[in-house]
Formats: sequence, C-alpha cells, structure tokens
Amino acid sequence: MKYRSFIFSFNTLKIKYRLPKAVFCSVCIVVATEIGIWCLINMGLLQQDNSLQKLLIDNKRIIENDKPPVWIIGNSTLESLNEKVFNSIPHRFVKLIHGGATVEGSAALIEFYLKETLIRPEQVILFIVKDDVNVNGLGAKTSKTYLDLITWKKIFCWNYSYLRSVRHALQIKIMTIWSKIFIPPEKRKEWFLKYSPYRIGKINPKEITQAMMHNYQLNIKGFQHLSEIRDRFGIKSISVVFLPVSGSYIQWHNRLYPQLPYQAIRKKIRNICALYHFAFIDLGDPLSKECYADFIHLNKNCDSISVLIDKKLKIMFH
Amino acid sequence: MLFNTIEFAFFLSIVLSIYYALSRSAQNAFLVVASYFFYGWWDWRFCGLLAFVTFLNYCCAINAAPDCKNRKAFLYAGIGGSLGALGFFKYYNFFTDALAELFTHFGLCAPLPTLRIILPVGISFYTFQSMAYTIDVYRGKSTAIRDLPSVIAFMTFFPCLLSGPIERAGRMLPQFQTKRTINTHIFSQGILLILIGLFKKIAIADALANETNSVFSNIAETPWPELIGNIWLFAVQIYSDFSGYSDIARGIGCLFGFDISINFEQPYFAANVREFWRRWHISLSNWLRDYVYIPIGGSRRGKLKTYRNIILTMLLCGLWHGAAWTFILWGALHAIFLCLYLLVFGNKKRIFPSKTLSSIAGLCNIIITFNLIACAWLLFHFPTVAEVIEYFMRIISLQGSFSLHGFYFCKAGFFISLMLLIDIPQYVMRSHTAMLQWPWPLQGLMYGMMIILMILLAPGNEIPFIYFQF
Repeated sequence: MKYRSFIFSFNTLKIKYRLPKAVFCSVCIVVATEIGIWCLINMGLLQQDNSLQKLLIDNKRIIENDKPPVWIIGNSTLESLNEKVFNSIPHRFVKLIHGGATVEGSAALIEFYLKETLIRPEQVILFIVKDDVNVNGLGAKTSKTYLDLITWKKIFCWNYSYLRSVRHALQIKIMTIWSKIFIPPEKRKEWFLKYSPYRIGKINPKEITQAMMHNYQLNIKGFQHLSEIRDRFGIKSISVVFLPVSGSYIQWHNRLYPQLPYQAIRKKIRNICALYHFAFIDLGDPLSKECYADFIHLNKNCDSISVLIDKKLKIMFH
Repeated sequence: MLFNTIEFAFFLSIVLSIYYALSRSAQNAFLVVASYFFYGWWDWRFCGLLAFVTFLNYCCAINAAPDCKNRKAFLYAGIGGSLGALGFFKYYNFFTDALAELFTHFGLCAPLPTLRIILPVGISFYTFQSMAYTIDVYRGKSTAIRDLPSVIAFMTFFPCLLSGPIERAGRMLPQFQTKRTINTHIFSQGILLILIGLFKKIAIADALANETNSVFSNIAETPWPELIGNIWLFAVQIYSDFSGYSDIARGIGCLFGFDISINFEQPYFAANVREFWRRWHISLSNWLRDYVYIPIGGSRRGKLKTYRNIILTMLLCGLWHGAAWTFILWGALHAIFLCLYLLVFGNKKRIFPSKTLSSIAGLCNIIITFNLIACAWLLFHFPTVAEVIEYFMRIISLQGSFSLHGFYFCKAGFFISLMLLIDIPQYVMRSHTAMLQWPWPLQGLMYGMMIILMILLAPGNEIPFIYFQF
C-alpha cells in the first residue's frame, strides 16, 4: 500500500468541472450548422459530394438491390469502356468502378462486398492495366485508403459530417454565383475547369513517373487473394482483362525499367492467371493514338476496344 | 503520429489520464516512457539514437559542472557526440556529395562513399536542446541535475520532440522538478492553444498545401499573377504549419502542467527582417544568438566583425534547416537582409515599434518585409536554385494573361484573412490566448466558426508538418 501511494497521487488536476458557456455556445453553433445542412440536403437544395465511402455504400446498395450474377470490377481505366456493347454477357451485370484500385485493392473490395451483401456472383471480371500490379504506385496508395475504410482503420471519417459532405457542392455554388457576376459567358467553361474542386490535375510526364510508375515492382498478392476468394465464396470463375496503355507510355516504361519491361509484366500476369486458373483476356497491344484520352485512359468515344472485349467475352461465355 | 490525427488523440487522452493519476516523481518517469513510445511510433530504430544523445548529455552535464575536474573534456564530449550524431545522420551525404563533386572537378576519385541514411525525425531539435543543457551547466547558467527521469523527460518531452520549441534547461528543467498543478485557467489555455494550432494546421496550412503544390508543379502553365499570389500563400502555409505545431505543443504542455516557451510572435507583422527573427522560431533564434553569435563575438568587435558574425550565424541557421545548397542560400539571403538593415539603420534598440499597424509607414514596412521573406521561402520548396530562378523568370516575363484571376485572389485573400483573424487579436492584445478575455458569446462564435472551417477545409489526405523534415 505504501508503494501504491508513492506512485499514485491524483493531486495534479485542480479544475472545476463546469462546461464554459463559450464551449457550449460553439457546440450549439456547429450542431445548428449540421442540422441546417441536413435540412438543405433533404430539401434538395444541396447535394452531397462523391466520396470513397459513399461509393462503397452506393455499390453495396446496387449489389443488394439488383443481385447481378456478373460483377465487372476495375478502376478508372474501366470507366472509359462502353458496357452497353457487352451483349455477349448472358446475365445481368454490374460495373463496379473504384478509382485507382490495384488488383490487390480490387480483391479486397470484392471480399468486402461479398461479406457485406451475402450475395454471391457467378462470375467476376477484373479489368487491369500494367500499373495495377505495381506495389509502389499511386494505385497502391489509393488502395490503402480503400483498405483502411473497409477494415475500419480509418476510424474517424469526415464524411459523417453533413457539412463536410457538401463542401464541394458549396464551392460550386459560390463559383456559380461568382461566374455569373464576374466571368464573361464565353470563358465560363474554361474558368470552371480551372477552379472546379473536381478538376483532375493535368497529367505531365513528371507526375506520371512519380505517381503511377513510381518504383515499379510487381505485386502478385492480389491474384492470390482473388483465388482464395473464389474458393472460399464459391464463385464459379474469375476472368482478368488486360487493357492496353498507349504506345508512348509503354516505351517510356521500358526506358525507365529495362529490367522489367512491359512485355515481361504482361507475360508474368498471363502466367499468374494460368497458375490460379483465371480466364485471361489479353488486349495488351497498344491501340492507335486517337483511342486514348491520355497515356492510360481510353477515349470514351472509341468503342472499338469495347466491341473487341465483347467478342472475347463471347468466346469465354459460350 | 501527427498531432492532427485520431491516433494522437487516443495517445494523448490515455497518457493524460494516467499522468493525472500519478505522483510527481512517477509522472516524469511515465513521460519518458510516453515520449519514447511517441518517438518509436515514427521509427522505433531511432529510439536508440535518442537515448544515446540524451544519456550522453545527461552524463556530460553532471561532469561539466563548475566544481568538476576535466569538465571541459566532458563539455566537448557532449557537444561532439550530439553534433556527431546530427552530422552523420543529417549532413554526411551532403558533404560527401559536395566533396565528390569537388574531387571529380579536379579529376580525382570521391574520398567517401555515399550511404543510404534515413534522416531521424526531430534530430535537429533534440540534439540542440540536449547540447544546450550541457553548455548551460558548463557555463554555470544551469545546475546539473542527477534526477535521471526529470532530465530525460525534459530532453525528450514529446510535444517538443519533433519540431520544438527548443527549450532551455534553466527555464524548463525546474518545472520538471516541482509539483504540477493544473487549474481551470491553465486547462482552458491549453485547449484554446490546441484549437488554434489545429485550426492553423488543418484549415490554413493543409488546405493551402494542395493549392500551392498544384501551382508549384505546373509553373510553366500558371499565369504570372498567380505565381506571385502563390509566393504569398506559401509564406502563409509555412507559417501556419509551423506555428500551428508550436501552438499545439504549447497547448499540450499546458495540459501536462508545463509552460512551454512561445516560438512565434506574429512574425509577418515584423517591420524589418531583424524584427522578423525576433518573432519567427524564437527558440532557434535565441539558441543561435546564445551559442553561436555571441560566442564568436556578436556585435562587440566592430562593424565588420559584426557583419561576419551575422553571416556565419545565418549560414549555420540555413544549414540547420536542411542539408542542401538551397537552405544555405536561404541563410545567406537572410544574412544579407540583416546586414543591409544594420548598414542603413544601425543597431537601434527599439525592436517592436509600438504602433506599427496603425501608421502607413509602418504598414509599408510590414508589406515590404513580408514580401522579402516570402520570396526567400521559395528556397524551402524547390530542391535546386535553378528552379527558384525559373520561377522568378516566369513572373518577370509576365507569362499568361491577367484576366480571370479574381477568384484566385479572392481565395488567396480568404486564407490570408484566416491567418490575420488569429494573429491580429494576438498582436493587439499581446497574448496568444487573447480570445479567453473576450465575452463568451464572441468566444463561442469564434470557436464554432473555427471548427466549421476545419471541417470544411481539411484536405482528404494527411499532410505532415513541413518542419518535420528539418
């Protein structure tokens, strides 16, 4: 007991436990603002911004409602494909796009949906490009955010605040008013593109090198995870569609990483797919320049690749 | 574990809860454990380095006291060990690269190999703080303390461990040796300082980081008015980031019952560069003044030697910030500013003009000083001098048109006014917790607004404190 009293004291704190009026006032202001924003959202005057969390919740809802037997999953490279031409898929399908997700990230997200929805698809089709197997790239970083969200490592999420969830919508509103007053009509589009909170930074070679191809190292964990998911959840088959990036980007990659050139990555992915018994649709040969919106993303107007994919899927399904 | 993360909030609440329940002697030992845990969270491998620097200075200080034999040897051992660790981890590659370049210039082989060394976070801060303790004991300004937990807790106190303030033993160590009492006023001060610090970091510095980075990464296509605006915004960002850290550190100090020294006194209200250095990173300025500038002669041996001493001190100040030529140039630039000020205005004693903000001449001085300092900050961002020159060349060449920039400047003005919203009351009322003296409805409005702005402006990604790299 003597030893205990030597260590413990409880004499440090001499504060009166009374909530100061100012603190109470500030809490009231914040709560009132939240309620106000909630009302505006419900009245349809404000729209909540897109967020990773909202994306996951929306996707989950779509899967639960539609119960599609085929899941088409991928990142922004999938977004540019026209799924309306995928006539050869004999079942209803859902397109699940998670910007920046790598193979590992996509596998984790598939598992998340499987666990959360209790719905089992017959077929999963994963669309990838060569940067989706880089362990150090921008995609890997984004995937970590997805992983943090689905594993609750990201405990505190700003988006639980209504105020936070409308911040971009508020900026757009302010910008709309500003542009009506100060910006000539013919320049408004350009001006909006420049200052919009949804703007995507101009892709320049330096950024690509730093972000997408950063310290390129092949990561096959995602494929292994996919195989485990298939076995554990009784998915009939998993297919991997390897999408092409532009020729100049491939050349550039080869210059930077001569020890792991594009063709070697392609071959390795093919071998891994064979190892895990995934159907592999290899569309890795670069297309003409006009088919690309940038180095990686296909042009939305270019349907030829979507038609080509459909043909390959037809062979696979029938 | 950044101050503005949920992990730190958990860590702090657990540490505080245990701390309040302990007796004074146990509190210090517990603070040592908590500080090592905090430091080890970054990289546990460097806990050994932290232990080496702190224990070395603890032992050296005991043996460097005025009544000890061979005390000079222990002083040198303390300084040498601390500077050796700092030199190896922070400057080894810089000097080997510079030597290699010099040798290759003369057609010789590089004398030393380049190593892959990770820079331990906060090394510049805790080595300076520990070293200063040994020097102070040697000089008789501080007494050597044998109570190991108190001394180590002082040297490794986690709020100040990574980015200062660089505390002095004479001011801080007695606080570790006496009983701490935290009353309502101290607690309120602590919470307010944390709120202000978080506001500066999240709503100003982090929100600005994405704005400034997008301009810095796309200089070629940014019109010149925005390039100028970006210089101001980067200055606001770097100040809000660092002073935000210091405010949080001070606030946490209050919650533990310690009075941590003020590190920033609204530096952008300085009317000249000399005044700026009395308001910016005060603990480092004072350290350099007491342990470098005055020992090499200060201003006592004539004008020429004063200039020399200023230049040497500022070059060292630049080098302290980072092992790169840009930092040395930054120090040199500030040395030039200081020497020019001394040349034109002499060694005037009146440092803080009483009514600076209220006179037009005073305001002009502030604006000129701010712009000089803001331009120099570019050397902190760019890794090479060539890129800084290119930045200025783009401005001089008036690239891009002047139209459509109202919104950008409106945004820039918004962030600058957020900074002023905090700084003006502090400047006028000469207190960092001036808001506590306001009527409660005004206080409530201010706190509520700060929280709302933090929620709205916080970026989606984690942005580390800029000064962690130093």
